Parts: sequence; structure tokens; C-alpha cells
Amino acid sequence: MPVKLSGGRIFDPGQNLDGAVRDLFIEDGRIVAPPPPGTRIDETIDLSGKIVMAGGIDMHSHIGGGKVNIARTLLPEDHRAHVEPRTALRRSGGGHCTPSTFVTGYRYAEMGYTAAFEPAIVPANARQAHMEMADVPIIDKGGYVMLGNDDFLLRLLAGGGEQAAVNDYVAWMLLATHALGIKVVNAGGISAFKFNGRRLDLDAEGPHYGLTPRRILLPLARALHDLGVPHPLHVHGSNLGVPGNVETTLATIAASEGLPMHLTHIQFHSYGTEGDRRFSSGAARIAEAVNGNPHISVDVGQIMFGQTVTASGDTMSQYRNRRHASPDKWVSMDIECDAGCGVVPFRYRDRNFVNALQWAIGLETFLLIEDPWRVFLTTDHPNGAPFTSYPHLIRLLMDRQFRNDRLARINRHAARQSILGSIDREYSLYEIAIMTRTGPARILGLADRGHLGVGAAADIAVYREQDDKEAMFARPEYVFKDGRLVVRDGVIVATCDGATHTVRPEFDRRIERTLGDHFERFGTVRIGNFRISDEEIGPGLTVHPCREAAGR
Amino acid sequence: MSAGGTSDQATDVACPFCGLICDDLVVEAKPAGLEVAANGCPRSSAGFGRTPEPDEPRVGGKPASRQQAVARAAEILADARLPLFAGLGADVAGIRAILALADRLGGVVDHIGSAALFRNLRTVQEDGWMTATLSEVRNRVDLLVVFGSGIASGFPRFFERCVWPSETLFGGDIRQRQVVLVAAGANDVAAAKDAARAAGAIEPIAIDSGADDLPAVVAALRAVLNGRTIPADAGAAEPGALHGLAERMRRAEYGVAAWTAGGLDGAAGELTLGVIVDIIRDLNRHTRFSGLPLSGTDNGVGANQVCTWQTGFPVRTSFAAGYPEHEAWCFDAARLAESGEADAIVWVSAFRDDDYPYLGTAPLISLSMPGSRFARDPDVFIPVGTPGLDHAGQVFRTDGVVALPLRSLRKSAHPSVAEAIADIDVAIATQTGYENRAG
Repeated sequence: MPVKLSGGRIFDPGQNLDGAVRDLFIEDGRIVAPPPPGTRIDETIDLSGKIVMAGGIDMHSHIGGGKVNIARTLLPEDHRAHVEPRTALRRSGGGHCTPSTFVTGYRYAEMGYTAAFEPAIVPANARQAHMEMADVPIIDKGGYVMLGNDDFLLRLLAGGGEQAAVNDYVAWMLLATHALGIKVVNAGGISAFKFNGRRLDLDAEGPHYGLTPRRILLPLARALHDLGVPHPLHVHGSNLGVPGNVETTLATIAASEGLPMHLTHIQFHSYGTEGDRRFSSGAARIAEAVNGNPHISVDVGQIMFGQTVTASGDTMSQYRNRRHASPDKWVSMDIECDAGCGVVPFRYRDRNFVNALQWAIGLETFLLIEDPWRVFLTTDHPNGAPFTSYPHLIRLLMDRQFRNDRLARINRHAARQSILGSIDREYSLYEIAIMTRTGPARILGLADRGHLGVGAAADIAVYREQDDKEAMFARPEYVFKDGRLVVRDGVIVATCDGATHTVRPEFDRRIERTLGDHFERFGTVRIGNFRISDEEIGPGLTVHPCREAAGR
Repeated sequence: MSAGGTSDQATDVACPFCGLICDDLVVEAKPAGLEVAANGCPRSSAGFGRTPEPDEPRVGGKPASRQQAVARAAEILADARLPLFAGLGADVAGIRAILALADRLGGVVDHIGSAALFRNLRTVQEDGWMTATLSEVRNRVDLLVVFGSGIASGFPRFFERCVWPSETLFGGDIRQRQVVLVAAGANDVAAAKDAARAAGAIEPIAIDSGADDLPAVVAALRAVLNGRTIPADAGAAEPGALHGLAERMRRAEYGVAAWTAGGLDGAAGELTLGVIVDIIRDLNRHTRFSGLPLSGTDNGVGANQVCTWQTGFPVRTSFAAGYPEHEAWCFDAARLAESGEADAIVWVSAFRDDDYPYLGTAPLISLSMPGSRFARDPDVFIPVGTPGLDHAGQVFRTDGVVALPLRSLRKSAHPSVAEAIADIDVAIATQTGYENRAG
């Protein structure tokens, strides 16, 4: 028997509903059509005047895998200062920058989020990433596996391997690691750092293989297109954090040759070299390029002031950034001829010129990109700030007065350099719903998430309308996960296990022979043991369809 | 037996008996038990070859049904004010179950390998470090410097698998890879030389100094690397030898400094490791150099990983306050057991049948290998299967990056640690009427 959520104002871009009053019906974890008159309704919850959205989806958040656990190990003080007691319903834990797994799930659900995606699964570490995500309760999970610095692919490309072989390898890797997409981090740069390379530009030839980042990015982007994988190549560009990298980012957009690409935490890649301090905002130029290239999407990676920790596969950049470590301790790791990881604690300060301008650049990016379907709300958790700052970020986007008040408090040289104060735009609730719900679901290929149409999973967040949007989004009145009420008035009232979202494009199985040989000759793990079994993922394993394969 | 190989032969078997977790073993089921038929080593041969004695649960030293043993364990734990979960020799599923129960009961968790493991952990907590994983070392190392002892006995296939494989990704002459052992044991030096000879590689160099001199030796080495002069008797190592080593380290394109967690024992072990970590960072200003910490016996790395992601802290963590608190001295299992602060002890050892190691008189519940011998018979003994032999599971490798799947290779009457702990959890709920719903 269905549960009726009556009279709420629905903000569902999936159905073009911009605050229309509608009843919703939930049955067996799904949203169902209004039952015929006379049907007995199990329970009715009155949502009159309330704001109703699909559950939030964080498409880029480091919530699982080795680097997150290294960050926890590096910063016991973060966990000592933020403890969470156990209750009859909740496991204990803690942490602010990198919360323990259970607390991560609770915090997301308490904000009305029902899914988060780990964007940097190192192939060799995929088993751990899934173990950790399995211990994140309530929300759905999934991840993008990192390629583009792995010696198998670099050897293949340097040896003139055909696109078909790249496609088979990519598809095999998605299957073996149970991933939803592919991410490339500083293409070729992590590998170059292992050969003592310290910088690699888009068209510079890397050591040993002689491959440019461009020659790594394109075959990967094409592979995902050919295989029909919904999520385009997820690109962490070259030269992260380097003043002047706006040129690299613009060149990367141009290098996409019309193939869909998602440029992640673009704030960290939008820096110019103007001004006395040779550091300036490139946000306007980036936004212009994004506005003019409909095949490009971005997430922002907004920074917030305060203590956090940066955890990235980009060892080349993280090694460079070690001098900013605060507190002064950091970890760098070369991993399995696959990738790497660098963990550097950061404290972003509003009085610091660079940090203050980074903050403004992120907000400029949000406000200057016109199409909310192609810009996603992230802080690159925990790299720009912990995900728990999303309600504050939403208020900055929706409330111009609040934003300008904040702008008045940052380093005045940075404030003067930024055009932020001249931007009038305020995001609407509908646009926030696009950017945090429907947009992420679409770009990830999750057909039954991110909207409230009939047949969708009943992942629902209900908010009380308030002028203070931070307060509003920090404490939903109800959150349902797969139809189950999990949060009431911002407090967890039940827990459950979310799904693991994956894709499995078809491929030619003969690649396994080549790969098995590679593993045996050069690796320390056999191919059969590398591959994670379905049983290891568990009952939440969900495989999403790919588009009709374009390249076959 | 599992797929791969003939019906009584399993291939690509992962071995859980040291932190390398080699996964290329061929294991045969013989009438007398399991036998490593290829790619073995003394540790794996002993581990797989150990035939479990038929054994049954005991309560108060007398044979009991599993149900009776579980019920008695539940009684002891329900009454305890500070239960200690020690040993933690279990796979990932076992560790998860233990943490859930410890969280609920307000207990303390600590691993048998903590004393050595914490030398590494405290270094990370204080300073961080730069490290590499096994495949990276295998393909890149051109200079390996081993500090301290313990590789030969603790990680028998290390040289074969990570230093002198038959080929690497980047070409280069594997036979020219130089190994230098500083203050290593005689057996470590012999093992390195044997492995080098078998590979046709150049002879490893041993810089003799006693383990006690290691802190002074690494300090002198760092001074030399930084262009400072050192006294002639610096750390009882020949200054010429240290100058030679420093020159090799500067010239290395991808150098690796390895140590075993237990090999830096002694009061100055942490200081020594701190200097090694500093040396690695210094060298990376100009070339590439990585550390390789070797540890992970009894899935110590895995226990620590799971504890860290679930609580935010390593092992030696207490839930007594209702939330996790971590303190390496306070929550040391030996101290808690022997001081009497812990008033019930759950000893978990699924990979070894060694005796329970602590003194003290608190009620003891042992979830350990069948055939375990005890100086003090536990109040409750529940024999458990060994992951990778008796049941499937997952364990972590020394580098903390790679986790490997373990298989079931034989029929076993014994529960896994996770099953035994879950049974106890249910029994406590039945006895106390308090259902464990947290998740």
C-alpha cells in the first residue's frame, strides 16, 4: 500500500516542475502513479508549503579509498576534535575534514543527500575503496576508476595500440573495479613524477613513453564515447593550482575535439597571472569557453575558509604543494604502476590573498556559467572544503546580499581583483535542484535517480522554506531513501544500505589474455585476484545500461 | 578445490601468512592436508601445511557445544565493564564484526602486531612520509637500502618478487640493481646474497653495525647526504662506507629504503625511522626515492585500515566513552590485560596457533585456530577457521594499498571469526534484550 506525501511544492527539473503543488505516492521504494480513487493509503504525510526535491547527488566527493584513510591517519587531531557518540541507531565515529565512514553517511543524509560518488579509485586500490564505501550507510555510492597514468595504457598508446584495444581495456577495467566512469588525473603527469618529472604541459612529451597528455586524454574520451558509457571522461587537468593554468584548461577544452568531457574541480584550474602578485581569476574566460562548448561540463571544487585536507592522485601537484602543508606534514605515494596519491593538509584563510581569490574564482565560475545542467555543486570534498559546507555554499549562490557581505570580509586586494561583487545573479531553487539532483543523475546515467517522476527511486528530501537558505538546506524536515524515512527534522531516524552504481559495457574478452600476461610479467597481483567479484560488492550492486555502442 | 588447476590443485592462491600476500601460489590438496606445490616459502609451507587438529569448543576447560560456548562468551561480555578485543588476527569481515561489537559494548581494540606497527603509524601521524607499493618497487628500484633486520624471516620472497624479477616494464639491467643492507641480520644478508646470485645480479653490500648503532648510523648518513662532516666512528660504521652509500643514494634514479616494522626495535626506533623518512624527503628534491615499510603479518595492516575508516583512528582505540578515543599507551592490549583494567578479553587469532601472550587473570574468550595450546586454558574457547584455507575473505598487503581475496580450499567445521562474533552478538541481544541495530 502506498504512502502519500501530500501537497508539497515540487522542484523537479526532470518533470519541469518549478514549485508546482503535487501529491507524491511511494510504494516498494519507488515513486508510483496516483492510485485509483478509493485505494487505501497506508500513511499520509502532509507537506503543505514544504519544498520537495529528489535526494541530493554529489558527483565528486572523496569518500572512499586509500587516500581518504591516509588523510585520517595523518590527522588524528581532526577526529579527536569532532567525536560522534554511538546511539541505538548509529555507530560512533567522528572527524570534520575526512569523517569516518559511518559519520559520512549520516552527514550526507542529514543534509538531504542520498548519493555520493568517489571520483578517484586507483585500480590497485579499488577493493579497499568499495570496502570503505560499503561502510558508508544510507546513501548510494559509486566511483570513477583512474586511468591515464597506468603503465598498461601508456605502453599500449606509446606502442601505437589501436582505439579498439583501448576501448576493450577501458571496458574491462570498469567491470573489474565495478566503476561507473573513468577519471584521468594529470594525464601522464603522475607517471612522469615517478621518472622525476616535475611538470608536464598539455603538449609536452612525458618521460619514457614520449606521450603528451593530449595523446592520453583523447583515446580515453573516445573510448567512453565508443562504448556508450553515459558519464564522459572525468578530467582532472594538467597543472593543477599553477598560476596561468587557465591557458592549459582552455587548451584542454579545445583538445576535446567535440568529444564529451567533464572537467572537474575547475576552480583549481582557472588561474591567470595578471596583477602585481601574478595571480588572477581566469573564471570569466573559462565560463565563456564552457558556455560556448555544449559538450563540456564542469564541477567547481569551491574552497571554503578553514581547516581541511587535500587528497589527490596528482602526486606531481601535491608534491609541489607540500610547502603549503598546514599542519606541516604530508604523504606522497607511488602506487602499483597504476597511479599515485598525495595527501597535504590545508588551512584556507580569508585574509590570505591567494585563498581569498580562490574562493572568489569558484563563485564567479558558478555564477558566470549560464547552463546549470553543465555545472555541478562540489567542493571536491575534502580538497576545497568538507561536503558539510554545501548548505553554506548554496546560500552564497542564492543570496546576493549574503555573498557580498562575505566578500567584504576577505582579503581586500583579492576582493578588489574579483568581479564577484558586480554579479547580480542569484540561483533559484529550480536551478539548485538541477545542479545538485537532476543534472548529476543525468550526466552519470542514473535514469531512476535525481528526479521524482513515476518509476524513480523514492530518494526524497523535504525542506522548510526559509529566507536563510543555509539553515534550510542544512536541516531537511524529511529525507526518504528508497522510500524509507531516514531523517526527520535533520536527525537520523533509521539507517539502511545504499546501492553501488556501475556500468558494464561490452568488450572483446581477448583483452584479458594480454592483460593477464601483463599482470603476471610485471605486477605482483594476478589478474583473477585483481578483479573484484560481484559477491564482494554485495546485494547493492546495480548495473546501469550503456547507450547503443557507437563505435562497433 | 577452486577453479584453476586440476581438481585437487588450486592456482593463483593468495597466501595470508606475511604482509607480502603473494597470490601466485599453487596449492594441492593431499590426503594429509594442503601442500604448497609451487611458489612457496617457509612461511606459506608452514601455514598451508598445518593440519588442524580435530578440535571442539570448550567452556571452563571442558568440551561444550558451540552454542554453549557462545552463550558463556555472551554472559562474560555482557557483564564486563571494559572488554578488550586483542590479537585481531582476522580477515576484513572479522575485523568489521569485532569493531561493531566493541563499539556496542564500549570495548577496546588492539592488534598483536601493534608495537611494531605503531612505529610506522606515529611517524605518519607526526610527519607523514613518501612511500611506494610492491609493484612500483619491482619495476623501478635501482638502489635498495635495507635498514635493520627482519626481511629474510618475515618476508621470505621479497627479493625474488620485488628486487630481482625476470623482467620489468622499463627495461634496464635488473642484474645491476644494487642492494645495500645497513645493520641487517646475518640471515638477511645471506638471503639477499643468495637471491642476487640466483638472479646473476651484482653482490649486495652489507654495512655492518649493530642494531643499537642504527640511530647513530642513519643520523651520520643524513649528515653526509647534507654535505656535513662526520666523526670517524659515526655509529660504528666505516665513514668510507657511509660516504659510498650516500653517493649511491644521490645517484639513484629510483631508490627505495625498506625496513621491517619489527626490525627497528629499541627505544630509538621511532627516531631512526624519523631520520630515514627525512633522508627520503631530502633526496626527492633532486631525484626520486621512496620508503617501503614492511609489515602486515596477521592482517595487521587490514585491521588497522578497517579501524581507521570506521573510527577515524588506528587500533589501540577505545569505545568506552561512547565514542572512539585513541591513545597508543592507554589502549595497549598488554597493559590493559596485565594491569587488570580490562575485565574480559576476547583473543582473536585465526592465522596462528600461538599461545595467548599476555599475563593477567581477566576472563578469557579465545577465538583462535583449532589446536591452539594455552598456558592458561581460556574460560571460553571457540576454534575458528583460517581465512584463505577454511573460508573466503579479504586481507591487506604491507603497502596498505592492495587488498587481496582469499579462497576456501577445504571443508571446515569451524566458523569464521565474523560468524563467531556475530553469534556472540546475537546471544548478548537475547540475554539482555538489547538489539544491536546500529549501522
